[in-house]
Amino acid sequence: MSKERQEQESRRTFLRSAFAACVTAGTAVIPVDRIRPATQNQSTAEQPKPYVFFHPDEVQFLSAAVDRFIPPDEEWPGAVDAGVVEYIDQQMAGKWGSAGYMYWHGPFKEGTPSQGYQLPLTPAELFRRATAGINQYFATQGTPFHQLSADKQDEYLEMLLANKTTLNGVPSKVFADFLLQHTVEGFFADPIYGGNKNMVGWKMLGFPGPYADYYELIDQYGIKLDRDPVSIESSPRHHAM
Amino acid sequence: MAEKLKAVDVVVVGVGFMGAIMAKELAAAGLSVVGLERGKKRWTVPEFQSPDIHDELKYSIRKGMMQDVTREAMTFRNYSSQEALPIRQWQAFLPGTDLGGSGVHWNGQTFRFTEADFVWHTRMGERYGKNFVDPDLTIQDWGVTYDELEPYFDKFEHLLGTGGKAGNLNGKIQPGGNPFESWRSREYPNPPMKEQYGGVLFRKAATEMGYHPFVQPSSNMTRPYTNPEGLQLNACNYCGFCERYACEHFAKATPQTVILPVLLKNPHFELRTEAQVLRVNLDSHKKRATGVIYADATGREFEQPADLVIITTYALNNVRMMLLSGIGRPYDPKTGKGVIGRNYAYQTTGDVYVFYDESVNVNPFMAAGASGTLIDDFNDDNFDHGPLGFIGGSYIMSALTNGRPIEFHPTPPGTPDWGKDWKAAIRRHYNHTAHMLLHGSSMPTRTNYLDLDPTYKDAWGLPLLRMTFDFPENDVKMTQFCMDRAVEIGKRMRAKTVAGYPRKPPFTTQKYQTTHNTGGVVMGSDPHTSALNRYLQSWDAHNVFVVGASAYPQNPGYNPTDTLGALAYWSVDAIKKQYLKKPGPLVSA
Amino acid sequence: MKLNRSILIATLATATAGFFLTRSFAAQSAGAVKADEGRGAEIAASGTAYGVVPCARCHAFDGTADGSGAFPKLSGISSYYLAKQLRDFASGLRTDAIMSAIARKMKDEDIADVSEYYSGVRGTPTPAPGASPDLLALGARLATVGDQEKEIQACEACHGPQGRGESPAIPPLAGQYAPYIAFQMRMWRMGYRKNDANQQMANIAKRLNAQDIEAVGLYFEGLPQQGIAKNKRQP
Repeated sequence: MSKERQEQESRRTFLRSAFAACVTAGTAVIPVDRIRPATQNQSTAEQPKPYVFFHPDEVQFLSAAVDRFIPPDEEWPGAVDAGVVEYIDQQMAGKWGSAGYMYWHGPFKEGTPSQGYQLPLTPAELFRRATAGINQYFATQGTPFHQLSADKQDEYLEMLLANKTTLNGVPSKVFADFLLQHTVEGFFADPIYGGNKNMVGWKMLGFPGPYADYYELIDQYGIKLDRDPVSIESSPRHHAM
Repeated sequence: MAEKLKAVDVVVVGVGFMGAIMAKELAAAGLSVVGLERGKKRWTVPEFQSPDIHDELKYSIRKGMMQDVTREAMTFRNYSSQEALPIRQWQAFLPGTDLGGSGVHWNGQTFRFTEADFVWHTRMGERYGKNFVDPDLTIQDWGVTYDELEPYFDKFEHLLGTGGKAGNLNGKIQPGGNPFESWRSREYPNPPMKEQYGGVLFRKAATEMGYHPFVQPSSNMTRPYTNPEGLQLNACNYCGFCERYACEHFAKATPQTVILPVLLKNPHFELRTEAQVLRVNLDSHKKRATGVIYADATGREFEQPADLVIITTYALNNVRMMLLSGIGRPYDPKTGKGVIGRNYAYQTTGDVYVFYDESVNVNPFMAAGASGTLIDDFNDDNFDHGPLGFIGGSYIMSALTNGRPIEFHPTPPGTPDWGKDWKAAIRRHYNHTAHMLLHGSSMPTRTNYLDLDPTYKDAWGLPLLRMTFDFPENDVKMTQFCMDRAVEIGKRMRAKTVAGYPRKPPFTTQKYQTTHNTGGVVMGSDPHTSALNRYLQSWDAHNVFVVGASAYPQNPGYNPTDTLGALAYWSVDAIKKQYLKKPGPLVSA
Repeated sequence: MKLNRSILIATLATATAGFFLTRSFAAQSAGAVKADEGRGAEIAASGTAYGVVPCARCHAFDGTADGSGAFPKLSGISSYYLAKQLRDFASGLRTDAIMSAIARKMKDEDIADVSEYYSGVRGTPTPAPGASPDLLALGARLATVGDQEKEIQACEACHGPQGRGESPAIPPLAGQYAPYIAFQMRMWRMGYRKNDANQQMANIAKRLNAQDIEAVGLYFEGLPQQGIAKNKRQP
């Protein structure tokens, strides 16, 4: 008989005897374990990492600012708890921060909005310079930014975004847009980059992450995907940029 | 001093989709072919594997697969009265690089241009009269007809394994397909994609309104497929990481999956990567190319002599290569004379968001690159423009190609851009929002053009390409009209809120639109207004062929790749059947 | 999302719309019945009065089966996937000498209940028998990287990091018996098993040789089974 049928036959024979053995032995009673579903990447007494780029006074301002952009609420963490400041810190210390992804030749001239970013400041220099300007300003005000009420903080950030001032020569909107963009990145990028801790950003939205195979589900219209996301971090093989 | 290498029959500059096709066909015909690719080798295994390939920060935000802007950028201004400044980071359009080029990170959207598109100037005059078209538009005929190209469309689509439903089979309109498409000789090689939920909702509304919705043709495989080159592809998984990313499943039609393995097995072909071609060399009469000069990764220069030079470096880079090499007269917008850089066009796009209540789980992350549902009723010349005062149109497509959260977290109008309410709104709307894309034509003008920048240079000291472009009034009118139609459909989709965002001038390089840059080395019948003849052969140097969307005299409302593949096969057929037998101009000027 | 100028807004009543939409496109889960895992446990242990054999006889009460590799582990596999296999056995889309007959006797609620039960069970880890380092390395490579020449992607692209599966439609492989994995791969390759949605498995299996198949089975068997499949999203 053909190899396939031989295989099937031998399996059937095996199964019949195995089946019989089960029946003879009786059903063993094994306690059912009803453990609460394990959460991936449970943080247990995580030591805060040292910042590689930001100084403490910069961290103070940035933490307060990003937590206004994405505030914590009863259900979901805010930017700081999600690791956004660590994310920005890593980015500023790395290739992105030193303009390693931009055409970085001069001359640098002021352009139109259609022409995009033209300042001769790398992202890291932009952050440092603008934050210094902010801290200098608040040094004359009596109360530092991070100690203002939430409303007052929001007012200040609105003012920056409306380009109402310059920060050590940096148009405030350029810096504020940058900060907002980095906050969103830090909240939603894969946790390998230091933000989106425990994938809170993805869990909040319902984004399942990089493992994504939906051929069978896409036309089950309206199906609710009710599982935790899985990140690149969960694969031991990953390599970040 | 460049080291002179042994001569070959053909040098292909840029080994992306078109370079791979040209090289494969010529090597298979027995010619010795060298393919010079500035980037690196990369393959599905290991470079495109999951989960690393699905990294939104790396590939969407930091543009990981794109042309290295630190070495080779370009400059931009809206108008000649402005000074062009460098595009320091790609946003609006994202030129590719490395082996396979943009063919690796495209979405697989595969539309043919129509019969009307190839004779656009003649057709507009015939239908609407000589005085209808805005005189500022420099629309032209292509010099080739749809009927001539049809077999080559068919060939390219079978190479790719495109999935779809024919709408017009040999003149007979077919149910389920696009009734506005031009005739095709046979069905698609694969069936259409599964529809997304948003597409189903769109289809219902569009049908009720009397329009003709259909599932878009897709080169993400809809089932396992073995193409005519003998290469096997798997079915697409709708992973939502198509554009900007490579496919780990061998399911997207890319040079790697549909042609490169065959090309590389041919002993007549040699691939050299990390080979930056600096210019094409011409003989002393400047009528014939003698080969190319390229620099390797260490900066050493080489001269590769060849009888035939094929330029396939991507539309924008093709224009630059011609300018740097001095092939063809550069276009001067003041005089209107010259051809290289003339008739640059783009794509006019827009977005509509349709916000549902929380019972509707749209699941935006379940998506292929090309699994949209669309109507062609307001595209091309498919409707009467007489009362409207513009030419061209857009297709209106319900599609979400992804739910990647850094870039996708839509909110209804009136939502703040940050803070507590924004956070609540993105949570509320992320999984309950559908989206329509307007994908529209782009007409060329006297003042939109490409040339070399006088100030900024690349890493090899050569001038960057300079782009001068804004949306012409014609296209602004067109896109507003189409937006009004799209919003009407949105309202019919029975959502809570519909918000339309029409494209308005000035064009900005800071917002992604498409990487459909066309023109600059256009094909045509008249050497005064075109750089290439109908076979994509340079009028100025008969052994130079330039295969890219740089050949398009204007850009219709359809995606450019299918037509480009057809043109590549058409061109290489002419080379094999005519040029090789008798090298020289194939068309008398 | 940044707001541009010129936006058109339309706001519509939702009552009828919402009703229409939920009625037409209600989520389809394993039958539209609410699964009862307690009843599922009973069926697993004692079967039903109308002749459904107790699952535990072959698969064990905790889903660990009997260690022989002839019967697959069921613990921690999503109820969606388990229910689909049972439905496929019943309809003939998937065939097996024993399972086809059993599944045909099961009612919709039986399928839903036993699937719910086994998806929530934490099985007993079973030690993988020793395998040659070469075979394990081959299996690891195919599972985590794939093979360019054979045109196959990494198994884990769909089956998840360390074979934990991609709930609900794609099953975990981690800790599954190597002989069972290998047997299923041979069934895919020969065309006897064809109940995956996009014919992916047959395609992949055809490009693997016998050694590849043995290797991936051994590799996945050695990975720790990862928890249970009843994850609900939590902050």
